Amino acid sequence: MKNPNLIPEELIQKYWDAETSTHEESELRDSLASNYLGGSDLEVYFKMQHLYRQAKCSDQLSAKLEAIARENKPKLIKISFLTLRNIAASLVLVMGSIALFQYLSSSKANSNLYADTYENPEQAWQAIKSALSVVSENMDMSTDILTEEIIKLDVNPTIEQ
Amino acid sequence: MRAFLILFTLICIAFPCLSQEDGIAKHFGKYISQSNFEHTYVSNRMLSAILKSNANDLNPNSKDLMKEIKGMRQLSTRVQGKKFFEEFTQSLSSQGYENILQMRKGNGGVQMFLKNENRPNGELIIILLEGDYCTMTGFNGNINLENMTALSKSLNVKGAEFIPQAKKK
Repeated sequence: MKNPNLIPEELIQKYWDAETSTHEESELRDSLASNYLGGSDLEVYFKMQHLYRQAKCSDQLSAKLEAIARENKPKLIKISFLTLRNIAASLVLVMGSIALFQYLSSSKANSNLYADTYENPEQAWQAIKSALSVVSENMDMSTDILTEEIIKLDVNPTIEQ
Repeated sequence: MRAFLILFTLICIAFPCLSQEDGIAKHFGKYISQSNFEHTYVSNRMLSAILKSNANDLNPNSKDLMKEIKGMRQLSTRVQGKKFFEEFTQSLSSQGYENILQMRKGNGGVQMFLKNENRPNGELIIILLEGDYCTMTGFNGNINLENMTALSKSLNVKGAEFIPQAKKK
């Protein structure tokens, strides 16, 4: 004699074949609540599913923990090959510029260029005095010449009528 | 790619700022190491030492004017002076230096050039020719022609007493 509460195997098979309607699926859920699937091989599976859902709904702490774990999951940063190439090229350029600058600033020619000629301030001061005297002498000479030219113009003015 | 281009541009801009060469070193640096040229250089550090020491006979006003000078360089030759005199003159004229004085005297002459007057990177270059002797003297710093003239007059040095033989280290 068949148990009237037993769900027929055809329904279970339809479920597996994804051919059940909404009403049939709700029947299956109700049978899970009654925990009676007639000793079918699928009974264990459905029972486990039911128990899992019950545990999931009632266990709020585990749900919260799951949410926290999802939030703290390290994000994977994806860097494209193009970006890596640009970064590498920039680094090469900067390193090359630094190396070139180091070479130029430490070359022998530059060391002669910016090395003080005199060892003490007295000698250096004499050189500067000489150079400044050249400036003074020539500025005076040009001023004298200009003054003479102006005087000549004043002495012999040309009047155009 | 944009960051790469910006970085490259910044480096190109930064390089000229790092060099800070004066006119003589920049345009005639190749002659400095040649055997027929004599080279004299007084750096800003040495100028500061001069002002601090008792070596100078400057009054306080002249000292203030002297502080504006950041360096002096001299390049001289006794070989083919006229040729280098013309070369230096043409080169400076083409590099944007203003010719403020030119004079012929005897078998020689004087040319004076000024650039960036009243600016921190100012330059005053004097080229002197006497026979085969040619000397080019450059001052760099905050150059003002009136101040330079006043400073040189305050020294009471008469005659061109330039030192052709530099005592080197």
